[in-house]
Formats: sequence, structure tokens, C-alpha cells
Amino acid sequence: MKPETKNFNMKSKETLLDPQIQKNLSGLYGGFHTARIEASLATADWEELQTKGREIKEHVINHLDQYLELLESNVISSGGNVYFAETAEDATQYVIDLSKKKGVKTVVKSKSMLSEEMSLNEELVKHGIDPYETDLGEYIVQLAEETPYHIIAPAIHKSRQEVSKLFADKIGTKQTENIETLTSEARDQLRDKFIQADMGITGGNFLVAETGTLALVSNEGNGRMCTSMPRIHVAIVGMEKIIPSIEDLGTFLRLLIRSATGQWISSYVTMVSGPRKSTEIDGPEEFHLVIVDNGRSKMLADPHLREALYCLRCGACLNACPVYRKVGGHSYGWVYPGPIGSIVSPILTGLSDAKNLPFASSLCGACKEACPVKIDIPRMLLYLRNQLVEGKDYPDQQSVGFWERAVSKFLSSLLSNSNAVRFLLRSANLIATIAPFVRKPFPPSWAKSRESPTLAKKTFVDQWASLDLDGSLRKKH
Amino acid sequence: MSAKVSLFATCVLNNFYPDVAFSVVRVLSKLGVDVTVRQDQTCCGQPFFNSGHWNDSSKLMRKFVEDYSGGQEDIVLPSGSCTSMVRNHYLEICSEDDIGGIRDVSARTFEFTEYITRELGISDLTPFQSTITKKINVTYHESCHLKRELGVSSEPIDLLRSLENVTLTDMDQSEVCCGFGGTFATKYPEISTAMGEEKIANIVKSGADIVTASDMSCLMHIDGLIARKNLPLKSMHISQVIEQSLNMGCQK
Repeated sequence: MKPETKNFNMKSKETLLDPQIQKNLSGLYGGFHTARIEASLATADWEELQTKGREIKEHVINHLDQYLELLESNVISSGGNVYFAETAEDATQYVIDLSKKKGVKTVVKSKSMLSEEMSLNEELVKHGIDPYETDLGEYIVQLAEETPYHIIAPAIHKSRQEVSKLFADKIGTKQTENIETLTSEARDQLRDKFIQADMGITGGNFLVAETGTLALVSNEGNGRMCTSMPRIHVAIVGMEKIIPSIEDLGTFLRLLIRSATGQWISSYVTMVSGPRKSTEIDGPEEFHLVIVDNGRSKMLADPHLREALYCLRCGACLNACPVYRKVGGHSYGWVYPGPIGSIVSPILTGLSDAKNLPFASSLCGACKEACPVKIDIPRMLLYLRNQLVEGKDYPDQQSVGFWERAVSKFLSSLLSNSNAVRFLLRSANLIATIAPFVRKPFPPSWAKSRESPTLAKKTFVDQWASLDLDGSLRKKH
Repeated sequence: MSAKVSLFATCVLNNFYPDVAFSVVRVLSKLGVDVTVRQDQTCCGQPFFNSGHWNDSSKLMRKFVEDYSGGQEDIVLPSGSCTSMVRNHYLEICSEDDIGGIRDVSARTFEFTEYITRELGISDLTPFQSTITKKINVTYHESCHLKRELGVSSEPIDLLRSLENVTLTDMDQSEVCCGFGGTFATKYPEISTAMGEEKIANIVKSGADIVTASDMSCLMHIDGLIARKNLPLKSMHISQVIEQSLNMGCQK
């Protein structure tokens, strides 16, 4: 997906003015967000699970090379193929070459955000291969020729009425507001594709190193069908999705699913360890695991950002974020929206173009509170802000303008000297007697929608200095 | 011996809301605390830190630490956000030489309601109520940094609940950010305002006449919207609610 992170300001304003999207987004707080809180409260050892999950992630990410090697050898020994792709283009090329070699005409896909990084559908189409998204939300987004709006709920921005109209326009179904009818229309359309498809492409929620197992979480069963019906299964997975053992999977499935939808467990948890064995009757003839870096090494290399690789892609920080709940997913301009996206997108696509993202947060900390592995998102946003202002670690550092830096320098020097501050404030008060607007010092960007507070005629400190302490303290001043 | 504190009023109170700072002083005095105020106080540096200007912020960090280090008294800030800057973020922008001073100062730095409940051990203000004044109906907005960075959440609510003449009305999504966010409010005014409007809608829905909070910067934002919309609502800092409720001379 081509990054459009620099359009954040424009896109977010548009979204704020779209009443339908605002209405659709308003359900997130009472929906996923509340469901997550309830599920975590109902899990007796939630805090311990979080700590354990975080510790495992920390360990794996610090020993990533070893675990990747272990995973590779286990996948190969169970008959699968492993390809390490340095870039998204690299990963795409592998899939396309494989498709051509194997005469693949039709591909069914289950939800994969990484495939959005790769613009995989677009590329497949260019090479004469038909990709079909089989997750209902992704199917809707594909029909609408859009990109996912949310990590786990790609069509969250569309109402049932909008979906109904879309289906009527694109696949010729009758308009209805009945969600079950709409779902079954999509199901009918997709059933044939599953049967026709030569290749199933999936993402992966976890890669278990010790067993060489790919674990997939889904609620629609489409993931399982993509991994078992076509003759070739390709899984494209970010390199950070690795966990050491099958025992750890229990910890992470709890953390992921409860944080994502608030469900105790998803309808399906699919585990794939290689292609069909000679003794088995189901499953693909070939299994390919494509492990993708695409910039993740940059996060690995920077100790300030490394914990971004702990992310389980549950979407809880999006649901918890009051900014995401207003500006929606497309404003962020790349694959991953919301708080975690404001860290991942700048690093993976370039800090300079994405410089608005780290600043587009009130730093309220709701994301950190919601994160199942306690990723300190606000801290990383602050770090990226600092990199943008005075950093040296990224090639496109210091993107914040000269004037802002000059004003900051001036104000901080001024405030370091209380006498200078006092002098200035007293002068302002003198000027205010003939120019009262001086007392309302907030800029137009504030005052357009909000009254500016009024500068006191005498600061607290000055009033205190002139007090008869014993006498006047207890009276209303 | 009575407790001694030095009040750091914060930029917002010092320059815009001196009356609130006096409320803080009067409430602390009523609870038996000796309050002093340094004349050379300015800013803790948080706005600079949050905007990425860490070098600039560290100048003010050093000033704060030099001003208060070596003292015995506790330092009280009527803001969760500024308190968190001192306690949680100073260490992120300092050099080795600053660490000792920061540890000394931040161990004695407390947010106002945190100080009352945790340091003074007072969660019930009933013993301090002399006469019952008019009952007021308030709703409480939880400020983000107080709750999430300092872990002070139920404490201010306990204080408000203990006031006999205060009806504390629940607010939907009281823990959701009001949209202020420091320079965020001016960098992203439309998003900030949209968040504030949602907050206002929840305040109105609560049915309370007064919205209170522990951070005046949130209330500055909320009040800016209330004033622009001419809503029949009033905002009061928690110290003002307590002061009024303890009948300390504000209103009858």
C-alpha cells in the first residue's frame, strides 16, 4: 500500500465532518472497547498473563535470529518451504513467481494486514491472478475498492445500509438491512471461489518455533478453508510474530482474542504444521511460509522502539484511542492506523512524511492501558516527537519547522528566569489596559472553537508576595 | 508538628487561575498543612517535553530540581500532568549529573488530591465540615495523567464522596480524554474540539450542574467549550469544590 501518511491532517478533518462515519465509529467504545475490559476483568490472572506475554515477547525479540532458525528448520522438516523476504516487494515477487510456476489462476485470501503492506491484491491482478478476500469485512473492503479501516474489523466504518447498497451495486443482490442475509450473500459468492482456488494465502497470528506451527485466529472459518482447500497454502507473516513454544500459544491466544473482540476464545483457532502428510486426506499439497521484514529490523535495531515488535495486532489500542474513534482508520494513511500505527507507519514508511502521526495524540495513555503486552505507546510517540525535533537517529530527523524550534528555545529560556517572566507578565498587564486582547493570549487555532482563558491581572505568585499571610489566606481572594 | 508543603502552582494556575491556587492553599491549610510558595517558580517543562523539545524542557527540569532539591518539605502540584512530568519524565531527559537531584525532588512531589489522600491519609473530609452549605451537584472528569501515569483514580472521587453537601453524579466515559493534550489542542484543533464536544455531551448527560477535575488544564479546555456554547454548566477545580463544601468563605 502506497503510504499517504502526509495527508493525515486533511483526511482527519474530512472524517470529522462525515456524520455517517462518525456514527459508525461511535460504536467502538461500547463495543470492542468495553468487551475487552469485561473480558480482562473476568480473567482471574489477567495481569500475570500480560506480564508473562510481555516477558516472552521481550525474550523472543532479543533472540530473534535463533528462533527464526529453529522455526525454519522445523517447517522444512515437516515438508514446508520457508522464504525470508527483506522487503514487501520481495515477498510479493515470491508469491507471484510461485503462482506462475504452479499455474495459479485464482487465490483465496484470509485477512492479512501484511498483505496490505505488500499491495498483494493489486500485484496479483497485474499478473492476471484473481485474488478474493474471504473474511467478510475484507470482502466488503475489496468490493468497495478501499483499504481496511481497522486491524481486526476492516469494514467497521460501513453501516449495514452501506454494505447492502455496495452488494447490490457490485454483486447484484437485493437490498436488505438484514445482516444475516447479507452475510449469506457473501458466503454464496465465496463458496465457489474456495472450490476454484489454486492457492490460499493467509497471514499468521503466531509462529511457534519449536514445532514449526502457524497459528491463525478467525471467527468465520474462512482461514481454515484457505489453509485446507486449495492445493497450495502460502502464509505471509511478519518476523515478529514468532513465539517459542506451543505452551506459550495458550498465553498469547488468551491475550490476543480477549483484547481484540472480548471473546473468551475465537470461533476458530487453526494450527498448520506443514502440508498434507501422506497419511492425511485433507490439506494442501504445498505449504510456503514467507517471513517478512519490510523495515521491522529498524525497530529491532532501535532500543527505544523495539517494544513495538511485541504488538499482537489485536486492535485494542485503536478501540481505546479517543483520537482513532474520531479520525478513523483511513486518516492515518497506511496499513496500521491508531496509536500503534503512529509508531509503526513512520518507521516502516519514513518519518518525515509521517511526521504528523506521532503528534496526533493527546498522550492520554488509553492505548498503553489497553495493550495486552503493555507496550508503552505514549513513550514511543514522545520519542518520535523528539526525533522529529532534535533527533539524530533517523535520516529524516528534525522535520519540525524552524519557527517552532525558535519559539520553544525562546520560551524555555524565558521561563528559566523567573524575573524575566515577571517583568514580561507585568508589561503585558500594562499593555492590556489599552489593548485588552492581550489578556486572551491563546492562538486562533484554539480560539476558533473555544474561548481563550483570561490572563490574571496579577499572577498567583505576585498576589502571594503581597499577602498578609495570616490575615487574608482564609478569605476568598 | 504540622506538615509543610511548598506549592508549585503550575503555569496554568499561576497565570490564568490564581483563585484556584488560593483554594488549594486554603484547603491544605484547613487540613493543617503549612503552605509556602516559592517566588521564583515558573514551569515544570512539560509542554516542551510533550512537543519533542527535550533540550528546552531540560532547562526547566534543571531549574525545578535546583529550586527544590535539598529541602525537607513536600512539593504539591495541583495537576496530575505536571506531577507526572516531575516523577516519570524528568529521568528521560536528564544527564547522569541530574539523577540524584531528580530522585530527591520527585520523591517529595505529589499531586494535590494524592497528597491529601496518600500522604496525609485523609480520604474522608467529614470531620472538617463545619456547617452544611447549599448542596451542589457535581460530576468528575478523570484527568488522563493523574489516572494513568500516577495511578490516582479512586482517591479524588473518595474525597468528593465524603463531602456531605456534594452530590457526585456519574459521568459516562469519565475516564476518556477531554481532548486538551497540551499543544495537541492547537496542533489538531478540530480533533481536540471533537473530543471535547463528546466530553461536554457526557457532562450534560450526567445532569450535574458543575464539572470538576483535578487538572485545571482539562477544565480550561472544557470551560472554553462551555463558554463558547453558552451552556448552563460551571467548571470548578476539585480544590474549589472542596473549599466551597467545607464552607470556608466562598459562597453560602
